[in-house]
Amino acid sequence: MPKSVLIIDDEPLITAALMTRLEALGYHVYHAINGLAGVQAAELHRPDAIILDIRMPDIDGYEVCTRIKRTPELSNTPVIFLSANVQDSARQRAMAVGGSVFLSKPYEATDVIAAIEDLTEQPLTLKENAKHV
Amino acid sequence: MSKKHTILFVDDELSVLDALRRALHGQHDVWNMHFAQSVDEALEKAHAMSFDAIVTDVTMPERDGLDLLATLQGADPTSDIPVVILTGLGDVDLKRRALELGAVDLLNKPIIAEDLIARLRSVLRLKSYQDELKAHNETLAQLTDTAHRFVEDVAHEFRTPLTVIKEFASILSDGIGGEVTEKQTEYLQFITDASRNLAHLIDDFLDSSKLRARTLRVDRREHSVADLIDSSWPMLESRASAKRVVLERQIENGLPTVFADADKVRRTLINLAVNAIKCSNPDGVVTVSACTGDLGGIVISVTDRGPGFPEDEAQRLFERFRQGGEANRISTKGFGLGLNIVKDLVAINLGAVSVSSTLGEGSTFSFTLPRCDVENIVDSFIQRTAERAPTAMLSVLCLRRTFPESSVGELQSFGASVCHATDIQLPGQDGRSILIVGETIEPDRWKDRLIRQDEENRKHAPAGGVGQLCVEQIGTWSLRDARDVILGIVCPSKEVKCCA
Repeated sequence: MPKSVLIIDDEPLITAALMTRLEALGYHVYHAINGLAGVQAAELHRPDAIILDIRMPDIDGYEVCTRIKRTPELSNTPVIFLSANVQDSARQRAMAVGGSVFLSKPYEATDVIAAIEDLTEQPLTLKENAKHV
Repeated sequence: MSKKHTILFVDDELSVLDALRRALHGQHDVWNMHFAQSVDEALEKAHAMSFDAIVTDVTMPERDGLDLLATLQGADPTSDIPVVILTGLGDVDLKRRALELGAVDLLNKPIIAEDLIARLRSVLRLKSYQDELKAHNETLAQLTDTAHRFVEDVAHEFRTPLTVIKEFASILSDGIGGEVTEKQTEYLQFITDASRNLAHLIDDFLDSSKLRARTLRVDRREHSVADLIDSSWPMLESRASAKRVVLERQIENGLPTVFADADKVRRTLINLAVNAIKCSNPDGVVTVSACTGDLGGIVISVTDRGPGFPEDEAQRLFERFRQGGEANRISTKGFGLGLNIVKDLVAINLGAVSVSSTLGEGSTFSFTLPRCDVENIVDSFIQRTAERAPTAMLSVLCLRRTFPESSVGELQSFGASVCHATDIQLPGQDGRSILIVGETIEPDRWKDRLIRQDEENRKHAPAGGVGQLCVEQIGTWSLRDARDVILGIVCPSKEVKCCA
């Protein structure tokens, strides 16, 4: 069964680029165009991994991640932050709210794929998870 | 029309105040005059309303005029009020003390009305210039802040379309959109490379803006050199492979840990390595190496086998590296914004930059980092300062714990003339830090303000936060003495070698 990934990003062309790349590799991709829709989509589809933007029109990525981590069925779903904000403070905050990896835009597709694969290989122990932080 | 000035006169003798009132009667149109008969009453009034000047007698029961002066000077917002002291004719010692405490003028008693009026007019004129300057500075600070936020927003906005361009070029090149010819792949690679370069420029642009706005946060900690290099490696390898350049690393065994801001080290390394990759030929080799330096610190170098440049040019570049201050930004044709930023980022890490090059053989750019050892950190700071200003006097404040925000920025916001400064959070000192500030800035004067600012900061800090700031030792010394003083405070048991 193909792995599923949810992309939460308000920029349609970024979503399109990620979808094109991931679908070509055989992933099943869902997407949401804002934070609230993203939380709903996560609850509905229970993806294997989530790619999450930070700056979005309604609720920001930190809040989305906080809500996802608070939902028992989703609390173990790895969240990959993908943001144009490259400041250390953004990275730290993303990790503090439960993000597993922080990647900055423009990203290298290989980094995104490696992160998805590493995080969805098998149920991660806390220690293994910490390697990505 | 100029505004009416408000002046407070302080004397315990009512008859003196009455005499002043009568003598200055003619000034009622231009001055609002208030009177107080004790220091406490004066302080109460000074906090309740805004005075343009205070004229005070010295000898008063309980608290005297110097006490009033010191209290006013030590607190915002009263520290800006100019104070004129009325003294006896011969009391030289008292006059000196009053001036040291910050009195703007002294007047001998008995007072001659014309003298007092002339002096006060001069004091008020200066005060209005000061106020004007302060207002301009505030406007400038706001403008700088706006400009910096604009740069941040622009950088953020640039990244999204850049990501789209780069990623779709890469998708096409990978054949996801259909078959591509060899020529098309080559052209798509040009787009990918150019987008990467542009992304790199945006990073530099952002750093440069933060450096100028002095908002670049510094977080120095203990790090292993190998870890620092490792964390930049994937990025460097992808840049190198795009140009078919081979990336090598040589890290000396058993290198001690360094004390640095990891992010700044990574940005430095990436800048130097990307430059090296850029000027390498296809199949060329770029070497990143780390070893112990002459002064006990660690040297990280990036060597290319590119065209190099003549030795005298390398020396000129090095000199410009060394001397290039804010007013003398070095020309970096062919180096992007990178070298200017490298110089600043390395300085933040108390290191130095050097370059050597041979025409036709290649170049080596190196930077140093202090070992995670108090003595080496302090030496690095002294060394860096000595290169820029050999005769500098250093003000040293030894703090019982790290100041939460940049202490340097705080000092500047108080109006201290900080020429070069560092806030060294010392490893293995239980959070103790040394704030070293270049030039004489009267550390006593800023100590109380730092503490008060800290109290203010802590009010807004999360509950259960850090303890109270405590200034253990303060003073101003020459570079050589400052080193011994600092090391004497932070490692008293250690026998300190004399600084070369």
